[in-house]
Formats: sequence, structure tokens, C-alpha cells
Amino acid sequence: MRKQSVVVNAILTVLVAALAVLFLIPIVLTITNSLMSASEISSNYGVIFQTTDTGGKVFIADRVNLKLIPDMVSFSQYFTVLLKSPDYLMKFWNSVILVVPIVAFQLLVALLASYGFARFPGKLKGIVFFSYIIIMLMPYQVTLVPNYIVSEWLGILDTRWAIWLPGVFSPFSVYLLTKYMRRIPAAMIDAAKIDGAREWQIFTRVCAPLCKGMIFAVGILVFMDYWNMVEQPLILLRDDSLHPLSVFLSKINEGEVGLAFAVATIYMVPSLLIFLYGEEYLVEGITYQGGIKG
Amino acid sequence: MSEETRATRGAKNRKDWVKNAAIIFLSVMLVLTLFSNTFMNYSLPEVSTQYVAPGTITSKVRGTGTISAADPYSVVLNETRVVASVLVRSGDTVEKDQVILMLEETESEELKNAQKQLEQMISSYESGIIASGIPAEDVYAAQNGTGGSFAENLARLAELEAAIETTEKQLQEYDKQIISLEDQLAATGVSGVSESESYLQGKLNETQAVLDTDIKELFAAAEKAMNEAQTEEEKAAAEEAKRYAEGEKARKEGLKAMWQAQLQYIQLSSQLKTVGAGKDAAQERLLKLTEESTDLRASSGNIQSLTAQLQAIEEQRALVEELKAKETAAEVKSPVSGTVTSISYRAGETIEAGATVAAIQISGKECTMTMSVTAEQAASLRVGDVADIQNAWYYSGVTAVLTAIRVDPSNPQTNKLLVFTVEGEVMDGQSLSISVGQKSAEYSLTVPNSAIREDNNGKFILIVEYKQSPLGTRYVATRVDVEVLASDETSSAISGLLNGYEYVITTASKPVAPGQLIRLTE
Repeated sequence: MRKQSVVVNAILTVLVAALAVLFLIPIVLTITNSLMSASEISSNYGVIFQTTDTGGKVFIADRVNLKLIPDMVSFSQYFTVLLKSPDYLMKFWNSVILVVPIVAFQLLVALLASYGFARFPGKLKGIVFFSYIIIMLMPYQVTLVPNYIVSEWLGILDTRWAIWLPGVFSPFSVYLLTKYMRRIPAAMIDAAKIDGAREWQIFTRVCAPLCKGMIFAVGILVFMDYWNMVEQPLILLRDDSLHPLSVFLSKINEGEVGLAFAVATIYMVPSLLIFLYGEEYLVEGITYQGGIKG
Repeated sequence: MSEETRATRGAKNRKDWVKNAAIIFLSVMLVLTLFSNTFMNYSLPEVSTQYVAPGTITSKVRGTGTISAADPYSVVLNETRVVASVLVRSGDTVEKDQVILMLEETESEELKNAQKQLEQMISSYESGIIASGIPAEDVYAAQNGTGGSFAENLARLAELEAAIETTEKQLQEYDKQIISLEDQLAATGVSGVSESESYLQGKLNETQAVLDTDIKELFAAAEKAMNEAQTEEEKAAAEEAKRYAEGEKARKEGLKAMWQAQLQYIQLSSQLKTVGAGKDAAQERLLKLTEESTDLRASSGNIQSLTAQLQAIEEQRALVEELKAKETAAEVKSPVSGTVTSISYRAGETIEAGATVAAIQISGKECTMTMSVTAEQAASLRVGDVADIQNAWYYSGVTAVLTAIRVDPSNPQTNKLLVFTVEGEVMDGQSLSISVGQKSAEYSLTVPNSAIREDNNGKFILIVEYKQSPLGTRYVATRVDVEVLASDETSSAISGLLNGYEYVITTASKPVAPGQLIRLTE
């Protein structure tokens, strides 16, 4: 019986490892290809991406040649991206400017909203929450048109407000935090009440600290979501100079693929750092089953 | 330490690490953003562009040349003097005899030298007369100018030599006559005659008369007696008479010969004496002629030499006077009317003798201008082409006409020298920019000359291709091989794979290679 479980474990380990490798390959490919020169990129992916970056000579491979190891490590793509092209850096900061307020204010709004949903009774509340769920379940593309029309009506089309406002009032984090807060035992709130705490104190001293892990988890998820957004800026921001970097990455087939590798590598750094910082909260938040520790 | 505490501390450390990494990453991105334009400007060449456009190529030859006066008058000072002040400037118009320079009143070096030389010449003249013992009359003759000219003396000398030669010939003739007469005297066999010539002539005539009458009668009587004699006796007597007659005749003949010889002797002696006298006279004359010739030679040489010396002294004296006269004139005047093109000296400077003080462009004389161009450019021009003056507002009424196309001596293989005749208000040394030539043609593709590049594969241009990438518009220099059809100083007509609306790179802040990213001048 025990021998059988060891075999199963081994098979599962291999399978998981194989899957992990499969998931990692694109990331490794991106990082290693970002260290190739423009001509090497052209020779590997020339069929798809013919460029004039190679001094008029076009290296066209017969087929796409996925190479993991560069012939000659070159940081020329990074130099081009970071030193020869201010546009990249501006788009990076565009991403930051768009995403950071959304994350911060969405969490704030969601925290207050979810506290209300979780704490106060009422008939209308159920309808509103249900509509939140419906909206959340809808693909973004469905709400895009109303978003566009409303933005135009508000006169914020082609400004960052067109991204910020829908982002701040996104239902996703409200839903998750409401579900999380509902798991907080009523006894804890009652205990606070007995101790003389008012509603604001209950929210700030009891509920919010208890949701800390979930807030981080939701924050990471929202950051990932908006760091990678493409449709919203494409539709709502006609001015290219306001577009975030994610839009560029969605159009790599129009530009230089070598640069795209370097840009993608740099672009994944903030997400990676945030994930590493809030990893345990994420795990904690997802796996929380309610109650008080210790 | 409990397991939980260790886990908490490990998580905290990792958070700190991630936090630091995030701070560093964002800081780096911030710094790069701040310096992004700086980095880009530093790394990407900035280029100026222009449309490839249809245009007209006019093969005008443009250039700048220096005007030189065709025949400038040089004011030359023949003595070393110091300039006191300069009254005109380059470019001024001067009239004839206008003072252009004032000189300081100091005795010039030339005058001092000339006076010294004059003294030396006089001294050498006088000492020469005494030392060489030239006769005083020669000295006077030289001084008074009565010594006759050289030609006269020469003619006289020639006469004398001819006379000497004639006299010598006469002397030789006399010698021959004397010898001949002496021979004749010897032949007479007479040693001396005391009688006079008339006496001897009388005797001769008398003897001849006897011979002609008496002797003939004797012969006639003897002949008659011979013819008449009949007898022997008579015959004998007749023969005797004949012999007597013959004897008488012979005697008388002898007498006659004697008289004749004596007479001849006397005559010859007389001739000899005459000839001898002639010879003596000739000898005397020869002596005189020879003496006169020698004297004339010596005297003529002396006079000639003295006259030459005196003449040199006079010339030197005149020079001194001239210099003195000049010295008092402390002004340099313009000898002609015209425009001062250059003044070589300033106040206080010393003008060397023979130096050009100023150059004056004479009024009304035209100027020339030369300009070196390539042979190709010169081929499009013809003598007689009228040039356009650049900055024409600056030069009023100036015209330039191409008058000659010559080989440029400094670069004969490739260049030609254009010679223009310039008329109008221009000055020697002035620069003039002109354009000349008329040929023009329309071309569909023209670019500035600065856009044409060349390498081992031929001529090409770099056009700007832009890629609308998500990172913004990125400009790339792309090579297009072209052929230059025609060109002038500013533009070239080209043919190549062009549509006619491309942007062509004209100038760049750095060398641009085909395929290189560039940025456009804003």
C-alpha cells in the first residue's frame, strides 16, 4: 500500500514538473530571447517579422526557430528600449499611473462596500449585490460599449479618468471582500460592540485588520488584472501617448519582436515583485476559512 | 527560537528584500525616464530631411574670385625716406598730382651716397691727370671740348695711315728708280763727265753733221772714182779713198758714241739726283706723318678718357642736384587719377628705395577677376556669358563678362580658370561672388547635393522610413541606390527606385548608416 503511494507520488511529481516546465517555457524564452541581437531575432523569426533594423539585410528563416540560448548575448535590445527610446519609459509610467490609483482606490471602495454588504441588512442590498455579481460575471467586452458611451457623456473620454473610474468601481474586489467579510464571526463584532466600539471602530479595528490578507490578495489580483489591461486603453484612450505598456505588448507583431522580448522582460518585473511581496497574503487570503487564529 | 518565529522572520526578510528590489527598480526606471531624452539625443543621430521633389537643375557655375586691376599704376619712390603721414586710404579716389604721402625732411641715404661718390670721382679725375702725365693741352682740350670728337680723330687717323702707306709706296718706287738709274749709269761705262750737257750735245750734233755730210761725200767721191776708174791705179786710188772714207766714218761713229754716252750719263746723273731728292722728301714726310699719327693716338686716347670721366662727373653732379631738388619736395603726389587700391606704408615707416608706395587703379580702366572651376563646369560656359553678381544690391552697376577660359595652372588636369572682365564700382583686391551659366532642365526627382552619398557600391541616398510602432513612430534610415543625372551647386537630379514623395536625409549630427535608427530635427 505504501509502495503504491510512492509510485503515484513519483508519477504526479513528474507530471507536475512537466507542467511547470511547460508553463515556464514562455517566460524563459522571453528572457533568453531578450538577450539576442536584432539580427539573430530576425534570423529566428524572420518569416513572421521582417524588419529593416538590420541595415537593409533581411534574415529570413524558413520556419520559426525557437531558440533558448542566444548565439551571442547582447544587451542591444535593452539599450534600445531603455536608452534610445523614451517612449518605452513613458509607457511604463503610463501603466504605473493608470494602475496604482485603480488598485488603491478600488480596494478602498471595495472595503467600504463589502463592509456594508456584509454588515447591514436590507432588501435592496441583495439586489445590488446580485447585480454586482452579474456585472462581474460579464466579460469586460460586454460593458465596454456602455463604458465608452458613459465616458463620452461625462467628457472624460481620451483621459485617464476613463480608465480610472470604471477601475475604481470594479465589482470584482467588492464581491471577493464581501464574501470574505461575511465569514467573520458575528461574535467578534458583538464582542467589539460590548466593548463599546462604534461602527467605524468596528470597521477599522476589527474587520479591516481581519481582512488584511484578503486585501493584499485582492490587491495583487487587481494589479495583475489592470497591469495587463489592453482593451480599455485601446478603446477609451485614443491618444497613443497615454497608452500603457501592455498595449505595446499586444501589438508586438507590428513592431520589432526583439524589443518586445526585452520590454516583456522588464514589464514582468513589477508584477513579480508584488507577487513575491504579497505571496503569503495571497495564499492566506485564498485559503482562509474564517475564524480567528490562535 | 520556535519554528513559527523563524518562519515569520524569514518572511520578513524576504519582504524587505522584495521591497528594496522594488525601490531600486522604480528608482532606476525613474532615473532612466528623467534622462530618457538625453540618452536618446546622445545615441540617435539627428537628421535634417527634405522631400524628394521635382525641380529645375540649372547648371549655373557659382564662385567667388578676387578682382585685380587690369593695369594698376604703381607709385614708386626712388629714395629711402621716412613717411611722415599718409593722406589717403585704400579705396579713396585721387586726382592727378594730389598729395598722397608726406615725407619727413631728412637727407636721404641716396643723396649722401651720391655726393660722396661725386667727390670721389673728382678726386680720382684730378689725381689721374697728374699721375699719368697727360699733356696739359690734352686736359684743356678735354675740358674745353676742343679735342675733336672721337669720330673726327678716327677719320684723321685713317687719313694719316693712308698717307703713310702712300708715302711708303713712293719710297719703295724711289728705291727701285734709283737702282735702275744706277744700273743704267754703270752701263754707260762713263766714270765721270766734266763737260756740260749743252757742250756735249753740240759735239754730238757736230759729229752727226760730219757723218751726215762729209763722210757721205767721201763715200760718194770714192764710189764715183771706182765707177770712173779705168785703170788699175785709178782703181787702187779709188779703193784707198773708199777705205779712208770707211775709216773716217768709223772714227766719227766712235766719237758720236762717246758723246752720246757722256750725254746719257749726265742725263742719268741728273735724274738720279732728282729721284734721290724725291726720296728724301718722301722719307721726311713719312717721318712727319708717323709722328703725327702717334701723337694723335695718344692725345685722342687721353682726351677720350678725360672726357668720359668729366662726363661721368657731370652726370653724378646732376644726380646730386636732382636728389637735392627732390629732397626738398617732401610730398609724394599721385601721377594719375584713379582709385587707390593699396597703400603699402604707414606713418613712421621707412620706404626703401625702389619700393612701391601705393597702387592706383587708373580711372576708366576695367578690372579682371579669375575663378577656378572644374572642367565639367567650364564645359557648360561660353566666352561672352554675362555673370550675375551675388548680393547685387551691394555692388551697384557692376557687370562681369566671361572673356576667357584657360587651363588652371595650379590644377591643370581637372580645373579651368574663368577670366571675367569686371566693369563698375569695384576695387583691386575686392572679392566678388558671381554665378554664370544658363542651361537648365526639369527633372522629376531632385534632392539637395548634401543628400547624395557614395561608397564602393556607388551613389545612394538615405531616405527616412517610419514605423508606427506602439512605442511611437520610429524612424529608420534606408538606403536607395541612385544615379545622378545632373547637378548644380545646390541640387542634383537623380533616378532610382523612388516614388517621389520620400524624405531624404540631407544632414546628420553623426554619421548615419543604412538601417540605423534616427531622429528627425524638430
